[in-house]
Amino acid sequence: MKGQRLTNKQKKTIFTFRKFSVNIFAVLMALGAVAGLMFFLRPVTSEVEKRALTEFPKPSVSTLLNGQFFSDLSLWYSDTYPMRDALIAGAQKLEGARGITPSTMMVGSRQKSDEIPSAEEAETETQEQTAAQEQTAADTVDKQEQTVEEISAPDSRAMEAEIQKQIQQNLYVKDGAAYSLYYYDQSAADIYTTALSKAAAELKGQTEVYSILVPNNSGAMLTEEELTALGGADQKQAIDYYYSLTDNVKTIDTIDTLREHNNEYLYFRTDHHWTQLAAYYVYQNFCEQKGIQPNQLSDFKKMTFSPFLGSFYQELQNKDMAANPDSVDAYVPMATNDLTFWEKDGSKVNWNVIRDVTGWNQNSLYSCFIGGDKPLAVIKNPNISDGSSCVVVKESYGNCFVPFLVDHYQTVYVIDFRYTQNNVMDFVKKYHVQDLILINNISIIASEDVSKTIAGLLE
Amino acid sequence: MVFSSLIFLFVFFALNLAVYHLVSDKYKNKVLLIFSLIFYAWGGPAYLLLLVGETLASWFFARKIESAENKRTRKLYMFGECIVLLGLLGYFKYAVFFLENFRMLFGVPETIPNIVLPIGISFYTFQLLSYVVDVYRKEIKAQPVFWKLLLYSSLFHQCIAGPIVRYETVANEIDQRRVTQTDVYAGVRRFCIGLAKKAILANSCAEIADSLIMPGSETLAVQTTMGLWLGMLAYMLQIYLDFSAYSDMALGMGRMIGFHYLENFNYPYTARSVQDFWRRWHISLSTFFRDYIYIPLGGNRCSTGRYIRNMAIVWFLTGMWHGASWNYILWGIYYLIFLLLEHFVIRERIPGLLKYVYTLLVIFFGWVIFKFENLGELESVLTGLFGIGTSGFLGMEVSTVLLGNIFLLIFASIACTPLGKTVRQSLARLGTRSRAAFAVFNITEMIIPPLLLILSVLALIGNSYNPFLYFQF
Repeated sequence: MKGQRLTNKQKKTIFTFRKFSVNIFAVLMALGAVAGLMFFLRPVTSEVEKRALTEFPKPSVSTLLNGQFFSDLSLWYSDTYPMRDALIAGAQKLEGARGITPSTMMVGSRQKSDEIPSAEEAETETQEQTAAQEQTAADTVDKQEQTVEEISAPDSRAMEAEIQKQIQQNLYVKDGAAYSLYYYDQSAADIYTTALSKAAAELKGQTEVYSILVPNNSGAMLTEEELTALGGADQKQAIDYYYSLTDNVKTIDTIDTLREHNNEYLYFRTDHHWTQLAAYYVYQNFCEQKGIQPNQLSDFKKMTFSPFLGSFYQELQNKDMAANPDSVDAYVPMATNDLTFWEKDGSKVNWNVIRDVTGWNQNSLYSCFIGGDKPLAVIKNPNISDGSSCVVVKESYGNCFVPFLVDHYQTVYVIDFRYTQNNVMDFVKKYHVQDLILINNISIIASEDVSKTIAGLLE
Repeated sequence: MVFSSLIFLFVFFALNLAVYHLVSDKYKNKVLLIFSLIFYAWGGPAYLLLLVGETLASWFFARKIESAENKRTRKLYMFGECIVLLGLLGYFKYAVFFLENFRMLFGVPETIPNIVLPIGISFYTFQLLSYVVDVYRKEIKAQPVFWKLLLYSSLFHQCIAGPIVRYETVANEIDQRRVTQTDVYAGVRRFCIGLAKKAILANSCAEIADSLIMPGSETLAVQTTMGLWLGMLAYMLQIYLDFSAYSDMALGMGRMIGFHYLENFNYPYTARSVQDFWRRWHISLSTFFRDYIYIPLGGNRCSTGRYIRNMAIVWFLTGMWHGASWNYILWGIYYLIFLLLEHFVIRERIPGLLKYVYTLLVIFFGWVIFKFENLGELESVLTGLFGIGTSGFLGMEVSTVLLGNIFLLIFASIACTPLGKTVRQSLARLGTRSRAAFAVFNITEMIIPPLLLILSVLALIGNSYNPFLYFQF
């Protein structure tokens, strides 16, 4: 330090301050160490992240020797550090200071998308090269057979990660709403449609198979110009193509209808799901295809839950979203609001088709529909006794569609393909089910692993 | 165990500091040794044998060299040391690479063993080699006590990520070190700065780089030109901040207890030439090559031909040291070319500020070569940076990343310059005259280390934020 020399008094002052600094450092280190020892304070689950936190690793000779145990231990230590959720909120403030969050932006990273063949091409091809395609189909089925064993016990956690990736890999954010981009995957499309055609062929004459492919919010809500500018694959083209590939399967129009109504509240802004209003328009199309009269929306009792800040908000922590949260409208079936579901561990729970979720965590309000995602749920309509029934195979997009079916069947079975151990074909045959309805979001099934899981259930 | 983890901070290091301060001077080294062995074993206890074995060999050879009666015997033991240490390094680090290339050329062998690289082997092997060579050159005395040499090679401050500390630097401090109050404060401060550099800046820059140019990712294949530039810029910041942060923490931890390791970085991104860059980057490695390879070969005090040969050897080895893959060798050769160009052609001809621009550009493209081990990917990124074969110039994803991290990038860039140091020094100077400046100086001296510690812990916890969309419980 050049300039004037420090006086002894000044030196002393500097020493005092520095000593104080070292003491604060020591106290902080001690506090951190002691807090880390408070095992009873360690959280097991994280509310903000909706996940179970890392468990304490079990040591084995090999993991001790190769160091795996120790790296798991490090992970456990930080993942379950006491007061984690509160500290994460602080960390997110710090992260927010990294830069500017524009109101229109694109989060995540661009992915590769396969070229979608046009639906007409697919049909001419079918006529010209039926044999060849059947061969490919058979190959695909062969391939699937090799994977059936894995499929029979799906690793839910791995699939959660895969689905999360499908939905959140690339988000367009505009005015407090996030839109998920869609990427097309040819082999996923082949596996999914082959499985549906095969199931329809096997069930011909006994069970009608319906395929409902729901676009995600970008495909339904954004203008053509915006979609072109954003990139990704065309969802209408993709849905048309998927539909053109299935034989003997009744397909339900979704995207055209939803686009016609897209000035209405069809998708949440802060969550990746559609609203029940959007599901209602698709339900109308379903009724038309099935040849029945749909119920009027005004006939249902409506419940509203708000404020809702869903998955997009959890991921992005966007301020515009927090300022303008969503609300969840839910329509209670007329015949009954009772539902029974089975948990993954086999336990049976009596629940509601529309559950009053007032006071629940504000990121869980979409769970008001049919108890959320369960391996199996059953709704019995006391007003119908004609033996009619349907099975809905779905991920969470199907949850708000199911309530509309309740008034049309004596029994509605709902299977979440991610958690069930049931083979859907055996199930349908065993219970003499009339209609098998597969309702899925186009992005979620655009993954080979996810379509393989569904294909495995339809074996 | 990495320094930037909660378990290191709040279990290992906290305990280490507490025990170290509680025991009497007599036991301090033993405490350090035990903690260091635990630290090393954390990454896989099996490799502890290797570290202890190499140290034992070096201890043995150094003692033999020292007591040897004639030059020939000394040479023989020196040779033995090189065979053992370089042999083990070659086996663990390069065997797979050589076998793969051999197979590519001759089709054999069919199976290549899966050899895991032991943590820190490149660092402690060089430390031990330098120790034995220095004994051989009679520059230092051999350490008679084995466990003290083991303390030198295994000391957790520098064992796994450098700096490559020379034995002579710490020889006296192993046995007698005095810790002043200034040492403790400077150590704490340096450690906190290093931790913050790593946990807050380097990790965030890594996130940006990973989101844009992760090797092998789909994203990289469809990235835009500006996306590649931004990704590489983030990587350039990351690699300096990350590596120098480890050195900062090592220096800080050493200083807290009286070890004075030499500086490993000197603001390399402010270099005025490529040669200047290498005097400022990973100094302990470049001086190792200078002292043990380049100068013994004749350095530059020889014919032009020999000079070029010496440089080529050094830079081939420097490339190889960084990893067993062709891109690192290419990276070494790339620097060789620029150093020779500077020596023979460019000299001092680049004017003013352009020197800095030229140097930064050379470094930037150097990191591109360094980053992509897959040569096909390397080629597509290099051409992509010039707009060839990318999916466009600038996508909205890239502008979002840029805007969303703009303050971070500015701050990280400033952290690569001596600005902070200059401000602190000016404040100190001003403080001798102005009472206000003196007060500000003292308050910042007091607050900065603990504040950085708190922010780093927050950032480390935030890193584990991993929301699960559907997961219910």
